[in-house]
Amino acid sequence: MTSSPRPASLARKALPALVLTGTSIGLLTQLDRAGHASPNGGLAVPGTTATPSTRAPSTTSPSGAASGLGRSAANPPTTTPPASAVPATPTSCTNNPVSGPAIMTRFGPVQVTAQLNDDGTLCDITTATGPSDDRRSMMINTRALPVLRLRALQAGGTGFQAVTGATLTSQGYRASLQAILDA
Amino acid sequence: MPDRPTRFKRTTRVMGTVASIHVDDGVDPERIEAAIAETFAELERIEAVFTTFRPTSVISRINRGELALVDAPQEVIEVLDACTWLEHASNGAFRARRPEPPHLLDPAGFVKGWAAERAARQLEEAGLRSWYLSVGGDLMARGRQADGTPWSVGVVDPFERDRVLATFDLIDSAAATSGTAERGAHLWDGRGGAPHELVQMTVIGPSLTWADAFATAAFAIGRSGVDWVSGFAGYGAIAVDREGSLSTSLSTGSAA
Repeated sequence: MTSSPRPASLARKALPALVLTGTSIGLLTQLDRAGHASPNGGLAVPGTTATPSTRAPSTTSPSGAASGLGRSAANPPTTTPPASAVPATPTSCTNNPVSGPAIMTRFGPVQVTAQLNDDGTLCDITTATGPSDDRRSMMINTRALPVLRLRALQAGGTGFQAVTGATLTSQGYRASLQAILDA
Repeated sequence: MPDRPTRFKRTTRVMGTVASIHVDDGVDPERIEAAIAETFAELERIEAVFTTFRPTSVISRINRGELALVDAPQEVIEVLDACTWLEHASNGAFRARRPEPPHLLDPAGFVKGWAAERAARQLEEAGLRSWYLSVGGDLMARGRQADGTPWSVGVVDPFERDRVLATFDLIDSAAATSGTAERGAHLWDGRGGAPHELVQMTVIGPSLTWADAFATAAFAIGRSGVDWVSGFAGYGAIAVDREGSLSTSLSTGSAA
C-alpha cells in the first residue's frame, strides 16, 4: 500500500469532518444487523402509507414506523452537536489497517484505508490516492470519507447492481449506468 | 457457473422513466415472470390514476373540479393524506400543489416511491426473496444476491452521471434520490424564494415511500435537510450541493 504524499495531514482534516457529519451514528450498521436478524424486514417496513394524521378519512392505521415518524414531527430533530462535544481523537492506532477498493470519484480514484480501535470505532483513516489540488475536490474527498469508509470495511464487495440518482427520462435512461446494469 | 441461478432482469417504461427489476431466485421462472409482469402492470395502473399529464387521471379530474376530493378513490385520499402530513413535517418545504396559481394538485414528488413500494407487493406475494425494484432510481431491495452478498447501490455523481460518488449496501431497505437532473419539474420549495442549495439528495431507510418523500422534501430544505432526515428513526441522507460538497448523516460509527 502506497500512501499519498500527505496522508497525515489528510487524516487530520478528515477526522473532524467524519465526526461532525456523522450525526446518525451506526445507521448502516443497524440496517445490516436488521438484515441479518430478520430477512423479511427487521426494520418493520410499513406496508401502507399510514400516517399519524387524523384529518382525512383514511382507512389506514398507524404502524410502528409511522408512529416513529409522528414523534419526529412533533419533536423536530435537534441540531448537530457543537464541535466542543466531539470526543478527543485517539493518539495511536495499534490494529491492522483495513483497505477498501479504489472508488471512482469525479476527480479520480480514491482508496480509503482505515484503522479501528478495539471497540470498533474509527481510530484513523487515510486516503491512499490523494485528491487533486482543487479545493472543491478536497471538500468532496474529505466529506465523502464516511461513506467511502463503509465501502472500505466491506470485505470482498466489488461493484454495484443498482444506482440511485435524480430521475431520468426514459430517453436519458438509455445512456445511464442503470441501463448498463440492466443489460 | 453451473450452480448459479439465472438472474432475471426486466425493464419497462413507466411514469416518464424506466423501471427495472432484478430477481435472484431459484424458483419457477414462470412465477418470476408473472410477478414481474404484475408489478409493472400495477405501476402503470397507479400512473394512470395520479399523472397530471393525462386528462383522464383522477388528479386531473380533481383539478378540473369534476371530482370532489371526498369522492376520490381511497388510495388517492391515502396519498393526499400522507402529503398533508409531509407538508407539516417539513414545515412547508414539501407541497403537493404546484407553486404557481391556481396551485393545481400534483403529488408527483410523493407518488413514485409510494407506487413502487405498493407495486413491489406483487413480488413479495409471489414469494420472491431476493430482488430489487428500481423506478427511475428510487429503489427497494429484498434479500441478498445469489452469492450471498447484499445488493449494492451506487449514488450517481450529479456532475458526471456515468460515475458514482459512493456505494452502499441495501439489505431489506430502500433508497431514493431527488435532484435537478432531467425531471426537475416536480421539485419545488413549498416555501418559495431562495434557489436550491443542493443538486442532489439521496435518502436511505426502511420504506421506499418515505425515503422518496423525505428526499423530495429534504432537497427543497437544502443543506440542513441532511439533519432533518436523520431525525426520522432509521433514515439517513447523502447530499451534494452546488459547489460539489458531499455531506451525509450515514454511519461513521462502529463496524459490526
